[in-house]
Amino acid sequence: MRDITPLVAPRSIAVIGASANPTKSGGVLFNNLVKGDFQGPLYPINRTATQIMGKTAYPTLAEVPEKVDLVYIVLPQQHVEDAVKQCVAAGARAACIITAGFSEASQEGRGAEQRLREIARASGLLLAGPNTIGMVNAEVGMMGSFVNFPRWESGGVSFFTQTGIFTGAVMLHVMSGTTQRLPVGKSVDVGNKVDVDELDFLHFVADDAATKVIGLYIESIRNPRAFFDKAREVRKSKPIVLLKPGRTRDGAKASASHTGSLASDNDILDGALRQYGIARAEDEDDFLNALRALAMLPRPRGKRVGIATTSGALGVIATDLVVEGGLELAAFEPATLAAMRAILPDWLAPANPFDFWISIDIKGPREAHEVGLTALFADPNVDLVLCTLLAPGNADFPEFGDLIRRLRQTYDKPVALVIYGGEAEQRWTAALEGAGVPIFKTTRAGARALSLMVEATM
Amino acid sequence: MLTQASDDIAMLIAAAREQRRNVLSEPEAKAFLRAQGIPVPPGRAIPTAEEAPVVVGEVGAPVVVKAVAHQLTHKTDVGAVIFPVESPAAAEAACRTIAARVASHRPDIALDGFLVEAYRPAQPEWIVALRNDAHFGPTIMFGLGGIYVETLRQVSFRLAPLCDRDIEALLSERPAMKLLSRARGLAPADRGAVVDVLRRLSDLSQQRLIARDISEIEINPLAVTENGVLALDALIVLHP
Repeated sequence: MRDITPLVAPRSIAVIGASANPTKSGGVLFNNLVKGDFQGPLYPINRTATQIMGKTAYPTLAEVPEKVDLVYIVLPQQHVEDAVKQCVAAGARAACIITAGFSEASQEGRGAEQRLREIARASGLLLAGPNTIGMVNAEVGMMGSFVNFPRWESGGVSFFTQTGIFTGAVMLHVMSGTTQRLPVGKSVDVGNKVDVDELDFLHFVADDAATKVIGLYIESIRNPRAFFDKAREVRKSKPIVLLKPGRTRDGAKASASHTGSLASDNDILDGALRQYGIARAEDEDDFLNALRALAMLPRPRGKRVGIATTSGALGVIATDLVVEGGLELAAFEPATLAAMRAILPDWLAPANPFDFWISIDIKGPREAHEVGLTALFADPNVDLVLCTLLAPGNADFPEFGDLIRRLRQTYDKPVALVIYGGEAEQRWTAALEGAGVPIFKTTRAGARALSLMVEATM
Repeated sequence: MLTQASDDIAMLIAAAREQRRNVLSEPEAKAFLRAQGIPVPPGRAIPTAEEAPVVVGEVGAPVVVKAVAHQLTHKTDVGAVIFPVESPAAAEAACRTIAARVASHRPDIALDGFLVEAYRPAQPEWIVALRNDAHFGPTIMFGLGGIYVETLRQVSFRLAPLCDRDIEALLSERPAMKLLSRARGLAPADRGAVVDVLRRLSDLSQQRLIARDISEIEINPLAVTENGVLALDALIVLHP
């Protein structure tokens, strides 16, 4: 199996098409690499400039004083093939073609892309793209993209995507977050996937100490058997969430058998993902939520959920979603029920979901939350916790953040938190920043994240 | 036993190839399944309607009578399956009715004869299949079968070979599969016998001959009763 380190974690980078022009992709990408503090040498390749952003420019790749690991190609489509040949001639180990206008655009583009593939296969050059926003690796300070990310931090989530601008949209969204940010440290967008593929990526992240959780957006799996075999091994320590659209595309074909008509790629893939323990996200929200849960939380020990809520309706909604998601409702221990009874009126028996709104009236918000939530977290039958809490007026209390932090640390169980309530919601969210507690906008998002987490880890 | 079965399927495949067809007839497919230890109803194929009463005598009424023609893969669509047939005379008449229906709906098809089998109802009907997918390789499908299989799509796939855990998951993935456990008005189902069929198909998927020549083995419907399973219909498609 080949090693894609020169592509994903290069020691040196050249940019063919680098310029000082901030309105051009090549200008923005080079600017981002410089601003991102790439740790190795950066070589702008430009026929006319002598220096770009303080870096010595070279008219051609051949004149660069070393064999570089990675070359970004940001040129008009008709010049790309020649640039790839230059990479091979100069002994570069990898190239990433940002330029679009290949198989996604036209029949001619398809032909041009096929020639790129042949060059890569014949020479051993690792090729990403074409039609990609580029690659990011916070560990080596590589912000190799024409998308302007507002800030960058390293993190345990590694992305592999087979898309054009979608990755840019998702990454921009993730990077712009100020609270509850998904800790993405690496993002490898291979665009039209001319060469480097998801299997290469799995081999890389398997040995990458910084990668803790893997997110894949792919439109096809090139070699399903090898992919699933590797995924089965990798997921034991690094859970995988996959987003592959086209779930409803009509897979029906004329066939002698019913099986032939039913066997759409999507249905087979769906079965294989369950079989190999890869969680399948339905949309981008689902994808990011599942990854955030996996990145922030410990692994679940089972699939029994304890639901705590201060809204009866949200409790029932949560129950539906949990069960539909393949999880189970935990049966509380007698000790748990006894502790819950202490904050409820005589006429109300505790149950799962545990609705303790009335306890706020009786005991005040701090004691109600502390006693109720502690009982739920402490129950040995509860593998995962889903809290849907209201934060208005009399439910609000200043120690909320401390309480949840303490419960999270003491019991070390996966918990998904949903908070409803204007100003207090923001305060509660802020109080939990860095606590390893994912907060979700809706009950559905929280329940789905827990379900996907179980699929990816158990 | 296994070698014998392999030889048999090799002969069936060779015969089909010689006749330039890529579908095995139902009697051929059932002979293969029987050799693989997957139960099929008692009965046999006959070349002419006159022989139907003899088979009824052998297996006992009621029987089901079907057209045999390898081109005819969706037999019920043209009325080429009649059941339950209660007497030897009625079986012979059923053969003639089927011949007439096929002649009027599909004049392009030449009947090879008829299959007369003991009639065994299936409620519900299940489908199991091994399919060598061009992209994913050998896959196993299980689900609710019968003629509504494509409408309801209560089926699931797994990549073969299957481990016990895969089989267990496959048998409980879709809502309709609850009918396999227990349901009002239905006889209890021999879940173990279904597991056994899936295991046999999974083993078959790993045999070279199967992987090389066979595109699909489909059992639909599979009847699951209190004490076993029966492949009521079967289709084997060869790679083109």
